[in-house]
Amino acid sequence: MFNFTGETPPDSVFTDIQALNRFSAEQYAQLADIAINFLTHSDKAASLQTLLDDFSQQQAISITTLKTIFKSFLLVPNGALKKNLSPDQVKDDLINLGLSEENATHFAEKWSQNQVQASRQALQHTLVVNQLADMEWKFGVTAASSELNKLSNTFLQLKLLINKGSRMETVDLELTLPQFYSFLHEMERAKASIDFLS
Amino acid sequence: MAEISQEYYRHLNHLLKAPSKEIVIRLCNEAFLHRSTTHLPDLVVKHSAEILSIDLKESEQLLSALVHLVKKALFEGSTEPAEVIRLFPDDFHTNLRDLLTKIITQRLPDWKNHTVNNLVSLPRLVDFDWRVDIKTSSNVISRMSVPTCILQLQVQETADQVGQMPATSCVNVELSKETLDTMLDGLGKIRDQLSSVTK
Repeated sequence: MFNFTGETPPDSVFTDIQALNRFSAEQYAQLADIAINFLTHSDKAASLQTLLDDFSQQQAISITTLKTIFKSFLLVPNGALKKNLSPDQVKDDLINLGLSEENATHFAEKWSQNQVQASRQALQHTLVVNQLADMEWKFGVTAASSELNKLSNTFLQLKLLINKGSRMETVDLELTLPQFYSFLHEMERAKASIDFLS
Repeated sequence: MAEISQEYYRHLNHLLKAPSKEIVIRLCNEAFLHRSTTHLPDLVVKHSAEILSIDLKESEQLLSALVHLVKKALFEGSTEPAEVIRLFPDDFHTNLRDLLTKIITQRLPDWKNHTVNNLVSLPRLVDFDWRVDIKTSSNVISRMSVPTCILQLQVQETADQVGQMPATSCVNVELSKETLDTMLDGLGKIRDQLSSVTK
């Protein structure tokens, strides 16, 4: 029984994990670091490609083989992240998949050090709909207009940048002063509610 | 703003035929409401012609003279009777001038408010709602508890057709705790600025 999936993974995963035993201790440590780094800084996912490229060139391993192995290797910590597994459970899973005791212990140690950061990272990357990316504001006073010669009317303009998934969308809107104060008040209530819940 | 000629003021004299003061007030309000249309609605012209028992052409001239007067009074924006009186030529009918001055000074605050609320502007915020959700599970982590705030803004677009209410559109935004903090930080800065201005 595997903790990270709840069922027996396909044979290819066993072969890939066992292939890790053929690396030297140093090579293995390097790979484990790459994996941990990827999980804790997934915003730098693009650099994973270069890291693996470099590794395959240095150690003269085919990049395709390395990628398959690495993908299977990541399955365990990803599952662990999802189910919030303890380092010991991770270690058991890796040993059951055929990784040597020494390598599994090494990874479990790394995992216990980085688990919190990795789950924090994963939380940040949960699905967000129409995320607010940026807000710009300006406020001013209208002094005159085509209809009124003398005027002192305070206005506030907001520009919201919203991440719509495929594109960024900007929304411009204008608030009057009373609207601004009620908006601020309501947002403070929302914040109080969030603070209470987290 | 074009200078109102003496000719125009002469048309205002038709108001002397009005049966009551209320009628004059109503006509002034009509003039305000239709100040930005190029053609006065036929119905309004016809109606005032009937009340004042004048022909349609005279009625139209009277109304456009009133529009000019109201627009000018609004632009000057003074509620001092002495200053409003200065809008009229010296030889203008005294009683009618005083009546119009009184009406204008009385109605001006309302008219001003209405104009201020409809100034040229970016799309305007009409209403907003928010709700706080807790995310309990996702494809990455099976059990979690992350509060998040969803904000819906109702924004009124700028009108693009005369005589039609502009459409309102809804904007939905999701704010994480961090984003909300940053946003409140920004809003707090605005408030500080505003209170330092009003001091």
